[in-house]
Amino acid sequence: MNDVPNPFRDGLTRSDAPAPCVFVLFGATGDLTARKLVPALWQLVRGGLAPKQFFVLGVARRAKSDDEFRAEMRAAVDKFGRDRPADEAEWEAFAQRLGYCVCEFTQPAAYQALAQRLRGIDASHGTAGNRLYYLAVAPEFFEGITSSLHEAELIGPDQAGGWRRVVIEKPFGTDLASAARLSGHLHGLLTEDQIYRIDHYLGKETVQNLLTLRFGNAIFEPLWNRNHIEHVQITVAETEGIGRRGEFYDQTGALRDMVQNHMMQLLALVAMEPPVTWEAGAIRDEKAKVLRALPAWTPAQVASRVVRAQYTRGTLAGVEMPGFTEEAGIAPDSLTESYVAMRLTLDTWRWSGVPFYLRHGKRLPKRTTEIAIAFHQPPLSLFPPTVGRSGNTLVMRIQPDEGISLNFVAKVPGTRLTLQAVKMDFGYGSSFAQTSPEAYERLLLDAMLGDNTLFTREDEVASAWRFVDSVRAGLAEQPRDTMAGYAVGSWGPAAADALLDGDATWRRL
Amino acid sequence: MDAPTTAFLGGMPIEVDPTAIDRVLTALWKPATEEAADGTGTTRLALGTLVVVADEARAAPVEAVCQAVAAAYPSRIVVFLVGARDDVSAAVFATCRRAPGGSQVCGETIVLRGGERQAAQLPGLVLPLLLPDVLATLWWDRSEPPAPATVEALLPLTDRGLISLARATDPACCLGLLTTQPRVADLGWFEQHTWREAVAQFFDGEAGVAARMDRVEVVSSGADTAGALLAGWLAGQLGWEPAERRSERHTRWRRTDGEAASVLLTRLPGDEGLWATILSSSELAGDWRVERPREAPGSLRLTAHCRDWCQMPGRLLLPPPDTAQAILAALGRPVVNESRQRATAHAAWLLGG
Repeated sequence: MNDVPNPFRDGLTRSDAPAPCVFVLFGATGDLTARKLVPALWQLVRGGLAPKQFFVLGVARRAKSDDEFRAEMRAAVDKFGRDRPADEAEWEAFAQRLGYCVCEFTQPAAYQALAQRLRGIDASHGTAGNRLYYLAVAPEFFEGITSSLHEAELIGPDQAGGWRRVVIEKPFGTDLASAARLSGHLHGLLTEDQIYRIDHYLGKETVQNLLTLRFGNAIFEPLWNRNHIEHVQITVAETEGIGRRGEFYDQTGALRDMVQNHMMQLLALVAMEPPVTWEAGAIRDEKAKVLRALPAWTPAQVASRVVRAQYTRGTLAGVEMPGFTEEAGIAPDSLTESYVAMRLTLDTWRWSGVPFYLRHGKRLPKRTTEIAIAFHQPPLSLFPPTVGRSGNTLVMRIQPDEGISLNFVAKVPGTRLTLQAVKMDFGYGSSFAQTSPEAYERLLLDAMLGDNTLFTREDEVASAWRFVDSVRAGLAEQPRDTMAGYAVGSWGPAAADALLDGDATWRRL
Repeated sequence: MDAPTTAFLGGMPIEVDPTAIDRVLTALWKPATEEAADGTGTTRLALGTLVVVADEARAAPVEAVCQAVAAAYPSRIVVFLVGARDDVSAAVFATCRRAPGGSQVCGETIVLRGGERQAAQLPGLVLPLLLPDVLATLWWDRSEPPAPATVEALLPLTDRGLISLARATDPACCLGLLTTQPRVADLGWFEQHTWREAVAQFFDGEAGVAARMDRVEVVSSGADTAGALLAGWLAGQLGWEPAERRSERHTRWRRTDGEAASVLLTRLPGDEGLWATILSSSELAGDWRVERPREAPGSLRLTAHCRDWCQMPGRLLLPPPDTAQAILAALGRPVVNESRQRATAHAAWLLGG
């Protein structure tokens, strides 16, 4: 691709278009491929956002023909796609860009066959040697697959014959040491700019809108600091249990499954300084600074700032459900947490002394993710007590009902001076009568365009692990009976309430 | 909820005194929003004000367009229908839809009916109805362009204007308006988006090739303006400057490197709009064609042939002309667009302006 801007793109809806490429999808028979990736690719092609010269090559160990793969992907799009194909012709046009390649990940010879197939696709589909490798596989295969791709000269820092990018799914390591090992391995094969660590939360509309809200409006940023903000609450609540991931989850826990990645990214976006430009490097620099400002905690600090818990048998939406240690794949004496809440502070001028409360748990009453900014109370109370909660809170709802609301108090009409909490609400669904793209659509397109703004950089991952490792080390030293319990369908253990300062309480969602 | 509000929310026009529109609307909305506070979920929402000026004879199609716009862009829509009468009447109704989560989101439509005398006093009628702080758009649907006094009085108080060159009885006059008023756009511009996208796709990743074009041809039937606008855009994006008018349909241009180039407007019988655009390069001995096949007019076929470089044929779906979609596209784009301005100026020159 040459660097001359396309003169005909100036002023069009899409100011940039991805170059021709092959999307090489490792893990093509997996759940993520069927549920998210291929439906997202279909949507991009359908919307004319994918390159015109484009091919999706599914790669997996199971033997399968191109046609069988296409049939499976058709079923996946029908089941999980945002839009179904309007007719067979429309699907057929997409299906002709789908192919499948059997590849035993651990066999170097298989990569020669893959290379040959890719050369054939370049010749038949004009994909110009550009490759986006997506590793939708278990993390233990990351190193082997990338090494084999490198040995087969399918990836490398030299991109003269077409660009080469690799997208990897979390977890990016299981601790700081393993994350550093993975990064070191990848950096031996690729430059950091070629590595796309995907966190689908960052593709969500409200997460991106968080930066627009902060830096596109003049009214919020002057208030966005310790002088005006009392505390911040970040909640990721799930109604789901651990499903069929028992063994994996028992090795992982809430802290590593959710806090180290998604919640740390949300924290970074809330707390970052304004970037000097709207470019990937500048934005990621500011996020990384926030995560670097997280100190490693001592065991004593962990004991006073973190509450962990497991759900116990209870009822959710009228259905009785087993407790965490009764789930398949979970050891009866497991010390893995399904809930974690913490109170942390950032050692920066902007945020010094402002508590950030994070909580995440499974089998909570609602599936909801939000960031709530609680502002200080007025310095002097002139009025009688408010009906309902007083105080100003700016809430950014990330899922399921994406939007932003601001709570404030107003006088109730009448002759008496009575105040009531009211809410100004902005909902994506009601204000914009158009469906937001799925997070994966945005992120896959960005990866094809070479824009890594919404992907996680190595130093962000390392800083998040450094903090989380210290929390894990502190928890490991705690006696068994510090593991709290909470009934399925409740908002978590009572011990979590003690984390909050002063009059603050966990938001009722 | 009382009966008038129920009817209003149901989309039934409520006759109102033209001097008391806002007061009546407040009264009609009050029971709905009070119940919303109790949890029944009706939200009055206006992302903007859309002022529509149309002839009474066009009331039905204009109303259909407004309904479609309101469904996607909850707003206050003020429709002024000009007919054979000498007074002003007004009616209001809500346009509601269910938002995700089950709440009801409603915009409102105000329909004013008057005659030519009232049309001449349009700013006085419409300005009190513009909502503060949100985008105000004027869609002029009449085939006659707005009078200079209306333009002077109304345009400064709205954010953007939309007209339809295809419906204009005097396209040259309307082109003049478009070239002098950067905040006014032709709806046809938005309907040509897929054509522009198709041309752009040829040169994604091969942008250097575009500078070597030296001939543009646009084939169309019906109004000349559509072909001229597309040709004007092509020449403008290539950085060409007008040089000489060889004939009514053949013009000479100068490329950025000083070399000569040409634009040809080919007219076919019929009234179906654009049929093809062909960019050619004598240096590369090739052409790049976007064509609307007769056998599949709902699509665009892309083919490129040249000595050193070729591209697989491609196909894009071409949405049928749809005024509501064009208005929505306009509402979703920046008001001023330099590419459009250049294209409009070139189109005016191509048509002899």
